Amino acid sequence: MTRSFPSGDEKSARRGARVQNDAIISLENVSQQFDGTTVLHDISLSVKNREFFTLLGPSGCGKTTILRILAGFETPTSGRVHIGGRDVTSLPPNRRKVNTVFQSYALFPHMTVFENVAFGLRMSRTPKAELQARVAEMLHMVELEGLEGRKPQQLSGGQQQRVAIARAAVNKPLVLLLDEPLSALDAKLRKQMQRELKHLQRRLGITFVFVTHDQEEAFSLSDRVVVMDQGRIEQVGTPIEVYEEPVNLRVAKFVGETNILDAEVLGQEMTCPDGSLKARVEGEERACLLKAKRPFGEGCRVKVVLRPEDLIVHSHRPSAEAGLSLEGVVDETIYKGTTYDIAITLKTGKKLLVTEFFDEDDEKMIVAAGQPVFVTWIKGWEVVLPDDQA
Amino acid sequence: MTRPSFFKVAAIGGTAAWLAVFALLPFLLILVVSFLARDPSSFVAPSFSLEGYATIGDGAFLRIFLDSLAWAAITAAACLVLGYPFAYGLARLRTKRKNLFLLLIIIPFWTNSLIRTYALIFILKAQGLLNTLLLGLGLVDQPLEILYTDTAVLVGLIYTLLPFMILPLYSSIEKLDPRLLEAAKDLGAGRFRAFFAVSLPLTWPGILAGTMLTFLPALGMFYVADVLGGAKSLLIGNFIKNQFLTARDWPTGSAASVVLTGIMILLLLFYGGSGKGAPRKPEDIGA
Repeated sequence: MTRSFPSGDEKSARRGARVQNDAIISLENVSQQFDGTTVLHDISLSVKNREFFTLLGPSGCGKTTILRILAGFETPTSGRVHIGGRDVTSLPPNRRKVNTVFQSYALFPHMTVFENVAFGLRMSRTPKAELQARVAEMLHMVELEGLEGRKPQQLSGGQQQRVAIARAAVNKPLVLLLDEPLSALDAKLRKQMQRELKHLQRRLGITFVFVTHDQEEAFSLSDRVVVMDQGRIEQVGTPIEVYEEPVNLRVAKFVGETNILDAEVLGQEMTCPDGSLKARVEGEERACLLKAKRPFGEGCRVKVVLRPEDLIVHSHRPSAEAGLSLEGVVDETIYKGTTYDIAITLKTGKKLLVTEFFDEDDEKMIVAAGQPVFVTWIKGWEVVLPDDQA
Repeated sequence: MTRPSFFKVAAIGGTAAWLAVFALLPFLLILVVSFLARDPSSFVAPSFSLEGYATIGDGAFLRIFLDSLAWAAITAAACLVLGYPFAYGLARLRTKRKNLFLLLIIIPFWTNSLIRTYALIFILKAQGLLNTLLLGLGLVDQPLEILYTDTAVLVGLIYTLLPFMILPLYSSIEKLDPRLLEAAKDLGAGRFRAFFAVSLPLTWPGILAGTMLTFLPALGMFYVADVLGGAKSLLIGNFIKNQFLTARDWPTGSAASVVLTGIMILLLLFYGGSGKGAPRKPEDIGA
């Protein structure tokens, strides 16, 4: 791999994220505008070699635009794009060592499965024997042997999906780009394809850049996730980091179910190891200690983010050492097999969702609609975020 | 609905009756006449004869026939070369202007094509629009002699038939998913290879339909050759017209018509057989 950059634009390179040595992709200060509307604001990102990297966000957040910039279908209004150590910002798609799995598959309807998969190899003028061997190997890998002669319209959705993956992966690209490839499949097939994608990525040993709006899918597949909103990066991190430590309310709300409580900071408690925060949480007169990763000033309004599984429901008021307990009434209970959801309205009017593992022998869990309850949470599992009105 | 609706019966029945009376019946008459003998006083004599076919079997007709095929082929090819980029651009336009351009293509159909052919004289003649423009721009020193040449006939044929090429091309190009071209480029195809590997095969039905709709009429548009070619150029259409109106040899004219129709039927059968893509077998889908 040759590293022929940086070129002229040193200023932006200095401002941009530092390119790590093992970065296969790096975006430096990439902005994109369409008809005067900015869809990407100064994006800097780097993707490590062999990483399963996911762009996660609601529709219109710019994740697909990033993918199209990587593929070469869009040229960014400003900023640089490096793939495999080369500046490819103005390189057309056919000269980039990346391949795309399109959302609607975009299989060639006039070609057989074999011809579809062989297309890229034909374009690179691969010798016939090698071409046949590689297509056969790829079709074996995606379990499509025996269907070589079929036309795409004679295949099921899942099979078309495999052809699309095979057609892109057979070219051994540096990076495989996947644009919501599973969104057209039904839930069961989707789960199965998720597992297969993950296995395929390990076997191929290439970098996957995956676009999805489905947080569960992103978490179950990815090594790292970037959460995007309105053309900006909100957070980059492992699924655990993003879920457990969302950097702001937008990320917290987007990834998974959340309960958000208002609180007011009463002061910093310096004696505690985690830099704990003395605060008053809504629905509870007593002050309590919260674990916070960053300092907040006295009198500051903050939000306390709690996942449904962090909360515990009690039918009797818990003892004082359990910390604060919030009083409320059960609205409804939803039995989901392995888990049990309880919707609660607190005295303050705030609605909470609690998820507990179902255990039919546990008496305290059997609560009914209309029953008064007390909610506590596992100490230290809360995330305190500034009240940025997202 | 169990009972066929009155509208359905009337629409299909009416069309069928119309075609029977105004297309099938005249053709049968022509077919019969082509096997009759010539009679100077009453056009045809009611006796069997192959004279008409014998007349067109000689070299002169064959010459006109081959010329005509060549002219039609050139016309169709020129329409394809001119029409494809146009239809492609049109199909990729945004909605509002697209409809305007489509309207501009269709508007000429509202005027009789014979009148439009006469109008071409004013453009092509020595002191016509084209020459005035070329002289004014200093591109030529002397007016070009276009009118009453083969070039004029070709211009007339292409002008008249171009919309018949553009419209079927447009409809098949519009169905072409642009993502397929992106996929081709993504897989390493440059512009030209993407075009030949993806666009061309997928718009093939439109190309075939457009070729049929320009090639076949070009064989018979005698008035274009009459008006713009100054009776110097002869298409099959002119030959047939002359047999009926000038030579008064109805059996020969009819025989030429039957041969022309036969060729068209063969071409249409070929077109139908080549298929707009292999027909799908329903039992294979979703297997």
